[in-house]
Amino acid sequence: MGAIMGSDVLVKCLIQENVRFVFGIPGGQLCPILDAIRRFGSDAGLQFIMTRHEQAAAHMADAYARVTGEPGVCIGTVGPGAADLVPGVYAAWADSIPMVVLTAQNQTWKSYPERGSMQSLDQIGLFQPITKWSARVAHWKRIPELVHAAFRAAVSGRPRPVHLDLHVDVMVGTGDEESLDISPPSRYRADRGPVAQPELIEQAARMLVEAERPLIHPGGGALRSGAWDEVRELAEYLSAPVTTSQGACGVIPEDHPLCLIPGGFGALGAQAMADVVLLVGGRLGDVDFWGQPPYWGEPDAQKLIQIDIEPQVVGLNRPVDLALIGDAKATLRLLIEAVKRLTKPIPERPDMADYRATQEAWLAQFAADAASDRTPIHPLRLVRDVRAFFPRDAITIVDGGNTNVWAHYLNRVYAPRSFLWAADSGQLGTGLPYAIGAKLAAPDRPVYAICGDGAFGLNMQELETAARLKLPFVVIVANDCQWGMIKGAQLAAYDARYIGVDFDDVRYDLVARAMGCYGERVEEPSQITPALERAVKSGKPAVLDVVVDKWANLTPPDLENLDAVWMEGCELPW
Amino acid sequence: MKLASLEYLEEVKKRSNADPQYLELAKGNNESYTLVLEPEPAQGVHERIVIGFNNVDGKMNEVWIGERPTLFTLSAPYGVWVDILRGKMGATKAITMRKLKTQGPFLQLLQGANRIIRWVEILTTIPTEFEGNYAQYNLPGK
Repeated sequence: MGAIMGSDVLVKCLIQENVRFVFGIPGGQLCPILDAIRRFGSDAGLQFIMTRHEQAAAHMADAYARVTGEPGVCIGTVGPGAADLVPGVYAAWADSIPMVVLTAQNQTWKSYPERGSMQSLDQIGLFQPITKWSARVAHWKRIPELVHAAFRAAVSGRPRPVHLDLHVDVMVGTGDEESLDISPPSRYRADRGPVAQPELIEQAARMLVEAERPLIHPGGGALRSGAWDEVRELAEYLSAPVTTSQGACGVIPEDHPLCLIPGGFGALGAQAMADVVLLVGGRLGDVDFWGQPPYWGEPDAQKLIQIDIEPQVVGLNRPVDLALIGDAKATLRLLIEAVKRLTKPIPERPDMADYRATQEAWLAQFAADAASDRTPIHPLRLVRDVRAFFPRDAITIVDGGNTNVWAHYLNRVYAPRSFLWAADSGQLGTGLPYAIGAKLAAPDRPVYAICGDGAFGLNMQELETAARLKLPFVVIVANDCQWGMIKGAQLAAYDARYIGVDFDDVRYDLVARAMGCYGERVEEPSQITPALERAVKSGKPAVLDVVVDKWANLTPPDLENLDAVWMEGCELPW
Repeated sequence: MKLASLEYLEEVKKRSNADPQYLELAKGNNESYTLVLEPEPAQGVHERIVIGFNNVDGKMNEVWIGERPTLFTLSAPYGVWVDILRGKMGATKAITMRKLKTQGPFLQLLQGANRIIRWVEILTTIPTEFEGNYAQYNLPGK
């Protein structure tokens, strides 16, 4: 051991954290870090993934974290590079995804406050609203301590992005390696979360056992915690229906007899009729109708037990009857044991058949359009054929407005950490970068993304990244030449006074080919499946540019409901 | 016809029971409903209006004015009903926004969602006079 550069210390810390990918774009002030990755990081399994936009880099890190449960890492150079990361970090922040955001910063002697340097930027201030922790690395000796703190903060409690601002003079500075403590993660962060107090777990068990119509509603926290086995075991033991939040699809297979598809009439009815609800790692936000009647029971008739690792979200949108603060997986495990001490397995409840029948009737309304042979292709026909083509364990990504709503009806999810959607931000442009990040995280699993054309256009430059990395997956672009959700709103509420919602027909398949990918335009319903076969067979990242019915796409059945939620309290004067 | 008058309700019954699409969706339905139109004095609607009807084997059977015990009660300010009938707001959206309040087994109400949507479409075909300031939205009928 001897003198070691700051950048080398940083990379050694990332290696200790078993970081496999750092996503980003190079920059002058980043070169010391990239050089360290090149000199010894790559031999230790750490790769730099060069993207074509920092936003996409953050989305890729986000996808990696969603699929693996480990924090994703992205990097941007000082000023514009850092600023361009923001939209991607925001999506991860909104969905409580663990992420470590690294930014290069100018030298300490000309920063905070800046004094006229090109690209100077207060990056601590920039990331403050979308990270749970942010720090400047202003001295060589503090690098390990602050990297450890960053990872500890990213994965502890409610996971979220964190930020380290890395001064370039610190990165090129040197010191004695022996004076540093580059420890493995087990020395500076816990490998399991806290559990709720035993007497509260006993109380929750009694409430659930005594309930006539208990219901389990996992949110994204159940996924982050890895609590899917526990959710399923408890549901099966209690014969309780499970209605996930929209973003938590996959916690339980959507064809499980106790699963009710989120937002479907079976789920909404079960939520309204339940006498005890167990909310696991969720907030009951707007697309959960705030946890309020009529889609949930009246608070005096429906008890709410809430498990969450973050005390701040307890009772956020609905009064809680019992709060259990703890890791979802660990707390559910103890809750299952407590329930088993109180009762034998409960046989199927009579209401379940009614909920399922209601769900089937709700799904039946989509059957005709899903089977439609007409052209242009109905969005439901596209979703049906795509989902039928890919195996159950495929990772499925959705990205869009109305395209996303249509996909929700028929794009079933069967496994945890297999459904990627920027749920709470509604961020568009995630589909392609999510596919890249997901494929890097799980190279053996099929990956497909269903994207609206507007959404796809926001980050389609990453086709070059995918081709360069030789990542085979399929992006299905539902091409209707419009911002469908907004145009639908203008149709419904503004007497069809369209503004800013139409664009020209773009051949996304040809764009894909120009960037080294497979591309094909699909205009006939009968050609969807053969085109998918050719796309997969190509062995390349593939884009199917599918021309869908632009008028049908405007008005998915639930658009009015979503509008009611999103525009609540905003009455138009006509 | 004045909204929620007995004449209006009889016309609703007549048109609903003659609509094949509605009858198909309502097949086997035996539910009863109370609809409450809450007053809005500021808009010139001064009286609380309560009406009801029941279905027998999918057909509208009896209609009435006044309160009776029913399976469901749907209540909203008068103007919300006007908005629904003139197509400004769907019934589902009104329920979601909690402007149209429901009492009764909600799962069962959801099961009849398509029937109710068709029923509202039928109502919009009836020449309808609204009260107070809402008269500007009177429906010509079809």
